[in-house]
Amino acid sequence: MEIENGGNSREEQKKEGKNKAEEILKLFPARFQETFRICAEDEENLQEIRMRIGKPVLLLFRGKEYGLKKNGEVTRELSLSWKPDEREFSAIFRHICQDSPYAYEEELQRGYLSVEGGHRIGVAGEVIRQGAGIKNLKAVTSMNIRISHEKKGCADRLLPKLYEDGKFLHTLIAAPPGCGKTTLLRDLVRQISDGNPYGEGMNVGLVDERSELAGCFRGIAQNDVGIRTDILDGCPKEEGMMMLLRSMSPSVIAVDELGSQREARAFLNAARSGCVALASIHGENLEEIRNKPFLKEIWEEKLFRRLVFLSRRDGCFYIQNIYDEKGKKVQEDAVEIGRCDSQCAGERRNGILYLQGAGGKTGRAGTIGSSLRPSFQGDFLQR
Amino acid sequence: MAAAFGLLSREISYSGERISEALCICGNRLGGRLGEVWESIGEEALLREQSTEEIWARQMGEYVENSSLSDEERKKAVSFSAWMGFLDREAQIHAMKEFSDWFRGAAAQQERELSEKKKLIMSLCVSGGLMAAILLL
Repeated sequence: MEIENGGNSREEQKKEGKNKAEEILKLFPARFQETFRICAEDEENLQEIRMRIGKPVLLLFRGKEYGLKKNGEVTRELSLSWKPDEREFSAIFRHICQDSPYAYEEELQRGYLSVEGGHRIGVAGEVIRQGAGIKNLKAVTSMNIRISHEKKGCADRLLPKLYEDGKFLHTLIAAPPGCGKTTLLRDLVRQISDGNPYGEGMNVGLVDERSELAGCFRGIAQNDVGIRTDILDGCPKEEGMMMLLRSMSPSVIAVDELGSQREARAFLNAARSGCVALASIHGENLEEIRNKPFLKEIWEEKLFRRLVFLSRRDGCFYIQNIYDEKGKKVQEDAVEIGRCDSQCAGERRNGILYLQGAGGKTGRAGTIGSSLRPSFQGDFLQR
Repeated sequence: MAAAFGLLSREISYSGERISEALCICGNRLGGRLGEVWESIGEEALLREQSTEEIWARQMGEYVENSSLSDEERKKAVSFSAWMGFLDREAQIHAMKEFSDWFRGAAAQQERELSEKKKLIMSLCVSGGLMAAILLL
């Protein structure tokens, strides 16, 4: 039995957007929720919330930086942005950890923690060392809340190129940071696992070292990665791949961001033992990828049958190129696979840009979300 | 109360659970009125509408009002809210153990005071009896 693929209906998307906004708001104590409401309601465009003690709160919307006033207004004037003091910052951090930061000790050692909804919170502060390693953080002074974006159906246009006679091909997805590698990989894993028009569902072993793909929170995947996917969360990739091979005998093994010789070797071993390999990597073009020393063995074996390059322009994500194992282009022109810019859903009337917010209502230019409050200043959102 | 805090520290030491979940588990094991209150604090904290600190202060505040605890013990029990949120697990466990020890000490002190009071009453009764006997003779 195959699961229905692709994007949801508009109504479902609206509902999902609202739930996601609520999820983001739940990260903050009740007394700060109004401050974050407007930016949370634009969760589709919100990428990061950066907070530092005594420094302006910075929001990253579609790759651009904005400040956040205490009353919830988003501003380009960073000097007007709210600067949380130590008590406010600490209250937010403790709320995120549900008053139990000690329960996240191991994650804090790695420098980030995953929370409900698959969002990831990077932390920095004073470190306590133990021998050569890091024992814990003594004081957390900076937080980077990275909003998880699950875009179901974003791999729809890529899938036909990755199958041959109903069989999924070894695939590597390459792109510079912020071009949607992880989001695309997540949707690929889901569709390969559930089954899609080009191939039957397969057992997928997913090693999610940084909890970004499945976004596991206390072991439970917060993102949909398919019905036949087994996840090893927070596990180093090289060990995880071997563990999955031994224990779950997956048909496909998927990892995010190959980055070392050991990982590449484990990956190659997994492929040699009969698994189809699916991975992502940092890189802009074919030459750069081919020159990565840790991938030497993989190139020698011509493992990857498909090499997919992603790019991002004007808030839209593209499949820039797809190559086969011989370096021949499988796809000539760039194909748009999604956008992180909800302006595309807006319309211009009498010179004013109207946007569709998460709540489904339309707000005037400079307004996002379901409210009609003038939230943005200056030329924000004006095109 | 000493036993309850001891149980809580052991639970966190063993499972490393968040305080809300540890309160649910320990409340269930403890039973009685205190167990119910701890479970209720844990469940409310899991909803994340208020901080565990606020929920503790409110619910434990109500609980101690109707308990037989002394004023000092009441204040101490409610003040645990300020001892949550350590970054280090050992430090959090240590804080809980300190509360457990404090209540154990308070209970021992009360027992001592009670036995002294008993002795005092007994000696007063004996001397009163003697006095009455002398007067009657």
